[in-house]
Amino acid sequence: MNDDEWDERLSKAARAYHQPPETPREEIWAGIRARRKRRSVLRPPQVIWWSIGVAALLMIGIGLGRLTVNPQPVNPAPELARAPSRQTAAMAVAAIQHLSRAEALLTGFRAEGKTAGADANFSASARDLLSTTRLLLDSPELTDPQMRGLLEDLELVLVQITQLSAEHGHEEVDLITEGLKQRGLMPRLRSAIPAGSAATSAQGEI
Amino acid sequence: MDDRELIARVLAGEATAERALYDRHVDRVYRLAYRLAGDPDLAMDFTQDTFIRAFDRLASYRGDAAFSTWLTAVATSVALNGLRKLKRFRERETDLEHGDKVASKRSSEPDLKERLSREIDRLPLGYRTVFVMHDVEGYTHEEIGTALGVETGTSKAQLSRARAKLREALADFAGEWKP
Repeated sequence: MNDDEWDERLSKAARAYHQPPETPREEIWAGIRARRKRRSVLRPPQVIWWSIGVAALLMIGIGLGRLTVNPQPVNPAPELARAPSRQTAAMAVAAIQHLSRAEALLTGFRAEGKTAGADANFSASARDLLSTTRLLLDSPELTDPQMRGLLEDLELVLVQITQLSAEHGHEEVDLITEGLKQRGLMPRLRSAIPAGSAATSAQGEI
Repeated sequence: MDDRELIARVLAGEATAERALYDRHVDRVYRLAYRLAGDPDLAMDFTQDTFIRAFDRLASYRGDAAFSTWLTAVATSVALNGLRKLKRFRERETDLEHGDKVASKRSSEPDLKERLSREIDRLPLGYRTVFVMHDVEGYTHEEIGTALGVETGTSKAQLSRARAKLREALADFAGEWKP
């Protein structure tokens, strides 16, 4: 039997693989409604989200402060001074700092190539960034659809990096790298980060 | 009423439109979730997660691709993330049980379909996903590429590798498969 015949037979036989039963529509729908209802009851009021956002911002600022040595006095970014509200400005600063870190991680990840899968530091850093990404995504201050799209794509890639396994690391790294390219994530990240590193200038604000 | 109109109504807060959109797409999502998970409870969880996430992010759907394609991308992301978490959990459990029951025996697995099923389960998740989507559920490489965020060439290559692994693993059944 040649490969094509094999594949045809495999494909036919595989149709019995995990044969789905009839969709339990009502049960699934009831679950969706219950979970959404529960979530809306448990969702903290906006002021708590705002506090979480400030806490995350402070953590990012402290982290960057430790990593960055810059003896020059720093001027606040002019864009921030014109920002429409304190919340929106804080969101912009947090997002830019976050994207700078993500860009650094992904640049390193790509540079490591196939060996990146074996490096647990990437997973750990991605996990760290993932929680901030989700925090930003959940924030009501995130109104820019472009930024939301970018953060959603970033979330997907970070999830993949956090779940890299040593066993199939090479294949998964290939898929992640391919996904990065396909979504144009690196150029989008870079264009979202203002020139002159707003991340460092924003520290003056904090 | 097409998907776009339904989506507009959902975004306007019409609850019946949400249910209509769900009814239109739930079978496809559940089938894929079940094929990937092989477990009714997991498939139900993944389907629920998919719709919750999709409704939450419906405003970000730009309409570049068909809604079903966008929803499939959400569904595969939810299912793959869930399966990876589960795999790590099961690996920890297997370590505790010394992995004594892992070895496969040709003699104790006389049924070819059962063996094929087991070999598909053993494929790396990326290969398995493409194989299941293409050969089992009939998705095109373009749809798979969009859902997984990869080029169609990558999808084709993954499918080819998956099939090669299965041919190799099931070589001892070749005689039984002759027409």
